[in-house]
Amino acid sequence: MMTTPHLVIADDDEVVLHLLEIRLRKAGYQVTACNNGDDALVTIAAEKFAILLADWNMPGLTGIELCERIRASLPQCTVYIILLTGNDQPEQIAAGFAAGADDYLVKPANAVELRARIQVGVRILHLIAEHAEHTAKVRRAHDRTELLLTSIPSILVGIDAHGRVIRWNQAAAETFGCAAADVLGRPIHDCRVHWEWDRVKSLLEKCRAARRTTPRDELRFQRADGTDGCLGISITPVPWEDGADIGFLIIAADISQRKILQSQLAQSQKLESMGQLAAGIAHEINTPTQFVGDNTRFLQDAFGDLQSLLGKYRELIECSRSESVTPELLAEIEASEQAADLEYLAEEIPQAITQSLEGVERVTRIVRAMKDFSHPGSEGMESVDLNKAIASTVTVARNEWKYVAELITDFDESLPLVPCLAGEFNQVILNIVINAAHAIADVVDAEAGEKGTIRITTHHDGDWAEVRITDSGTGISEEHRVKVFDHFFTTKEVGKGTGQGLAIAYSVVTEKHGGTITFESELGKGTTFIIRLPIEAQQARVTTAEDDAAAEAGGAPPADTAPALVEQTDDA
Amino acid sequence: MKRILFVDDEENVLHGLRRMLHPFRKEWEMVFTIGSEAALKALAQTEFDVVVSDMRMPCMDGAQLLNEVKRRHPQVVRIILSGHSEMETILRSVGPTHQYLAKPCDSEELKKVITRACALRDLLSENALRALASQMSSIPSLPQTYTEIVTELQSPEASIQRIGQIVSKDVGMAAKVLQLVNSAFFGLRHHVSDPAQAASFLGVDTIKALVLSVHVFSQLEFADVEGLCLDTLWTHSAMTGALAKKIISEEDGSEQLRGDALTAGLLHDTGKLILAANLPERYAEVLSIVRDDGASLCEAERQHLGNTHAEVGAYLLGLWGLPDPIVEAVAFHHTPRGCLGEGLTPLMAVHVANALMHAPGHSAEATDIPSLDVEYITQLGLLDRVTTWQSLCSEMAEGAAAQ
Repeated sequence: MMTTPHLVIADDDEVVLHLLEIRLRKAGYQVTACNNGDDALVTIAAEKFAILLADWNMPGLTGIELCERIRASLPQCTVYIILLTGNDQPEQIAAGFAAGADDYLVKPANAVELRARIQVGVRILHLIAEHAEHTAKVRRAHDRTELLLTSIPSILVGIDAHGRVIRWNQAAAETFGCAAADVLGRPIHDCRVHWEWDRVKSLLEKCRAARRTTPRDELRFQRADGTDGCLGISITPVPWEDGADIGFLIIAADISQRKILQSQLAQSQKLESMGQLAAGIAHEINTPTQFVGDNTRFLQDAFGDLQSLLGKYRELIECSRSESVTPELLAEIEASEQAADLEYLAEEIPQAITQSLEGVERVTRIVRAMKDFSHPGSEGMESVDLNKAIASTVTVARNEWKYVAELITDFDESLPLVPCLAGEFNQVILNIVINAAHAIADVVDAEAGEKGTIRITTHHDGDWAEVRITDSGTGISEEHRVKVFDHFFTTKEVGKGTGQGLAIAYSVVTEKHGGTITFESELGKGTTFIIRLPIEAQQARVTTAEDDAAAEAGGAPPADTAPALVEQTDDA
Repeated sequence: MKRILFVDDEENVLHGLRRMLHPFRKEWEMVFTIGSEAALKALAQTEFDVVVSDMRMPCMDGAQLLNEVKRRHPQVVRIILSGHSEMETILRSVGPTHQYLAKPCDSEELKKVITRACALRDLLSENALRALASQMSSIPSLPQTYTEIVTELQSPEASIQRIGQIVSKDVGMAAKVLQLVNSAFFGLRHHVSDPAQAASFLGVDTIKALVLSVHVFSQLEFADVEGLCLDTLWTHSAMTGALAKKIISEEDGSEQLRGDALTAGLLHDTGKLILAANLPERYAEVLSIVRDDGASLCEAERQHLGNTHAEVGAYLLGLWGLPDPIVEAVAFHHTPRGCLGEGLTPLMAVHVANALMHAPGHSAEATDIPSLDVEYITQLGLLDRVTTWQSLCSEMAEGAAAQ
């Protein structure tokens, strides 16, 4: 804070100078008296804040020149200048102000008035000092903010209401290969960034319309070195001033590495479960193939027998036409009938056909279910009949549960189609059903023929589709409950599970579908997993690019947040 | 009439089998049971010759069932007919199973396997010997050979070539790998008769699992039987195999024939091992009768045990599903005219090789070789080749002596 400013008096009239000095000292000012302009300038130059009381006509620098010099060459000094002169013509007064004076007093000046005017100077200097101090504070704060923004590893691009770039941080410059200086002030679409501009544009439009942060989207872009990458991007609206105009803040990060890891992980988990399923599916196909083959072979033999018998009958017809039927022929026919075991054939052929068709139907069903399950060739969201998807998955996995459990499905037929990544949804159901079968296998005595129950129900609950998978297995122990959705958590023996099944289920349901997955478990009684998916295509959980960057940098898996969403009932 | 029991947990499979095998109703009495429990009940009530069981069934699965059958009714031939292809399941059933068929199994193949099993029953008239052979899940190996293969398998640089070499010189190991490779476990479309090739089909990891965890190989746990030196038996077996192969090569036989001859020669005395291992005292008695009375070994065996070592060996190898030419060569290596056959056969080669190996001196006239069936060789029109084969034998003997 500024103390009372130094008062410098410049007057070549020694008497006036002296008088003023004495009076003003008396009034409590720190005063320096100079009898010419040059000395005054030197004194002022050493001050930060000063009030100058200057005469017009002096040897050396005149009062007017002094004003001009101070304003021109001493910008670092804050000086309040009062011209105190005998020149009283309006033109002269105007010239004084034009030269830089702040006030103008005609001699002889009344002492009271002079002090009052000096006081004004003091007040204004105080205001100026305060303002300077405030400005410095703001600047420091700004600098700090700037430093933080620069340190963010994510790309940060600010756009004003006219679509011009007003911020372009280091990460943006490095990632896109465009220096801030080259893009600042230019329209965002004209920054020569190689990204899917159409999608950025539509995100900007969506953001403008909705006036809220867009959910994280992913798009392709080209890095500074020309390689392709995947950008996680979200856009936040920034209302300017009155809020009528909005600018945008684009936050983005290069998430290619994470995408690769994610897809590798999902792929390896999918392969793992497919490998596990393959043996079971083979069995499910081999069994009907066996009896279809046997029946067909039987039918082939039977047809051969019947054909030769038909030959005999035809012979009989011929003979009866010519009325030459002999007892020998009739005996021969009877013998043929016996050889062919006609009664047996009459009874067995229809059954052989029925059972063969049944076998073929079984093979068809499982092959179709396999196709539905693996759902090749579609990547995006589509409308899925969850009941059918679950039925297919259960069929494909039949060999995994049929020896330990009865599986009951209770589907809500009123369930509408649900926007869904079918392949991934199936994977989630599969993971949970296999876990259920394992949990049951741990409690039932399969050798005694005991079986548990897996019940799958679907339910249309307002805006949500709910799937509940209940098993009569071991239940999840208290200490394991918080870890259920963690990556790499498994209670299975080494080599039996990667510990990824439920972590992937969690990420698929919450992040990719905007749904929830929770469970209720009671030790010794069983576990129910509850999956809820929004029926309307809604925005997936908002993950900002900063989350991604943090996850990438710090390695904190998103699943860390999972337990917070888990409902638990603990009746045990 | 042969009695065959089919077990499956799926009724449709049983219906299919029953219909498909209907034409055999005059030769076989077939019983179909759902599940293992019913199967054991049926077995307790009547005697069966063959059991064909599914592998994966609720309660007691196929491996458990067959283990029970092996324990309670050892003479019954045990066959698995399974739609499962996992190694784990297969390894579990290796012990109690004589043959493994994969679903879907071609009806002709199934008929053939059952017919063969029934025919084998007729080969061994003696019920006790049948029970004895059926119970063996491995033919013991020489301890040093067993140690050799375990060491090789445990070494981090285990090589399939070395494993193949070891397996090829041991009767028990060769027979076992051939059983496994020729079963439907591994889905090969043609029969394999070369033990080294069989080993390489299985691969180091499978052999490791089979030997170290499933213990498909075993080592001799009995000492020499009086009159039968086991070391000599092994050397004789290996030499007979090698000579049989040389004979086939000399006569420009095919690659397949050479392999069959080698293996048949190696395995031709399997029966002696089975008898010595299970009935040491009675077998020693038989051998002493041969020594003292000058009776032929086969006659003495038949008289005192009911069947010859050739028949016992062939029975077990047949149960294990080894290729027919090998089983025939083993069964008839002393009585080749009992088997119809023309031209070059493994049987001919093994018969000749065995006779030459037993003939001291290796230089007599064909008619002077005691155990050579001259009439048989004459019928085949190969009598003039005997001298050449004798010199092959002498070369080998000299080679072996030089080592």
